[in-house]
Amino acid sequence: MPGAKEAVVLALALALLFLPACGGSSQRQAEKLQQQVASWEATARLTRELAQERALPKQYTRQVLEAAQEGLDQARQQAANSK
Amino acid sequence: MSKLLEIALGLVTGIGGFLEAGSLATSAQAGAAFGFQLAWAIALGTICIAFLVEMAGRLAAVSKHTLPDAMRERFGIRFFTVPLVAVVLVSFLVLASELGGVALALQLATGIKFQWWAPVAALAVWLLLWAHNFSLVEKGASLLGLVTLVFAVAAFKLHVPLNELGAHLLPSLPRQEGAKYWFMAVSIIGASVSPYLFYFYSAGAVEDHWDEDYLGVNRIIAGLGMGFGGTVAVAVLAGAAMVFHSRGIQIDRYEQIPLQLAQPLGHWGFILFVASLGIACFGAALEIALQIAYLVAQGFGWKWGENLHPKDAARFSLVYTVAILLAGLLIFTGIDPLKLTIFSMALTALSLPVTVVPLLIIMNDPMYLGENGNHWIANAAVLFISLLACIVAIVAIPLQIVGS
Repeated sequence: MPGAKEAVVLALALALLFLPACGGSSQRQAEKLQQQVASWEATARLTRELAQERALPKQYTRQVLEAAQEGLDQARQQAANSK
Repeated sequence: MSKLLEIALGLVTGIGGFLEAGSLATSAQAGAAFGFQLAWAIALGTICIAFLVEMAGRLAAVSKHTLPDAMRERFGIRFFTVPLVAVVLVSFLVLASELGGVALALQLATGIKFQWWAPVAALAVWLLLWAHNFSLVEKGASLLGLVTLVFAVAAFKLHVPLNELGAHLLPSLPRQEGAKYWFMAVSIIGASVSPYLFYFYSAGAVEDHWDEDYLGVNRIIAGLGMGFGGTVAVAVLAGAAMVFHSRGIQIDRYEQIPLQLAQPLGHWGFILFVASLGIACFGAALEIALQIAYLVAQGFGWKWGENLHPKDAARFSLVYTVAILLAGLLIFTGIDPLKLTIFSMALTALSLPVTVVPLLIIMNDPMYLGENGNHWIANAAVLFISLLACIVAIVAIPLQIVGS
């Protein structure tokens, strides 16, 4: 079929471009979880800093800190499950 | 109305109407994850939507046809069903995302979970459409939407390095997390090139009785309005890069995003974020609900028009009523609004060829446009961006789903 070969080549080229992203190894997963934990810890830190400067209402501060706690719990749970 | 006033209102609509749940969430998430690196995706999306909006306005002014009307006439009802289903499906998900954005803004302000605000947001959107006319809906929402300019003020206060930001207006390959990078890129393009924007614009031009005298006005509104709107989206990305990326914070929940304005602007930053999210999403929800009704009614040749009393355009009113009800229910189930938004935007990018190619064919048909048909540059730019976004979406969406 004309064009079919080109389509296959294009699909392969695209797959190669994206392949580094799908390593899927346990090391990559661990790195990702570590990143997640660091991200939520930094979120909580920034929130506390801004709350101390009275830049955030208490209602909202509570919501972000709860979200951060949920994010941390989830990451730790995933880490425990993958061991 | 004088042309100058038309242009001013059009620019306000472009700026105030550009930022909504999709562009806000995708820009903030991209800035947090990749710094300035994905600014090019916003630029590409903005160029594409500016061309598309200009085309939709030109079609309405010259041929007096709305886009769905012309599509059904040109290709027949059988073919028209394909873009109809694609746009209605994508628009429905985007409508749910916008209602989710309104509900989230109310959650941030009150502490009451967003699910409980979903019916309130849906009812408010429906009531406004039921009771008021098109002009009030469009202009009121856009005027209030100017509050989103606060993101540009915040970017200024954060001293965003413009040289570095400018360098990323040209595409570059990801340094890490390829799948996420491309997924974010297509989500950003999908958010910028939402079909509802140009479908809604063509319906608006017909309702405002545009003729060929409006071609210049149309060009200015499309170019400058979308350009300014895109600049606000870049400001969101730049602000997120400065506040979140530098601290290693990734955006996983909507609750994190207000920090982007609270950091440079203090308490007012938080208040203005809630106002921006609520107003922008509310305005977009109004427009998308109307656009779904326009599309179905114009496609099937029913009586339509926001300026008509609901009983005079009963099927048109029924369509937006059902769409709002179902979208409200979807948010009420507690689905994550951020994930829904990002996914809807990626799907929008995937559906672009289906929604854009028929428009391009019509825009090159002398039967509709006479001597005002498309220039090859417009054809090439829109076709290239749409196909690129679609191809990348085909690969990036499954990889992102598997990866997460």
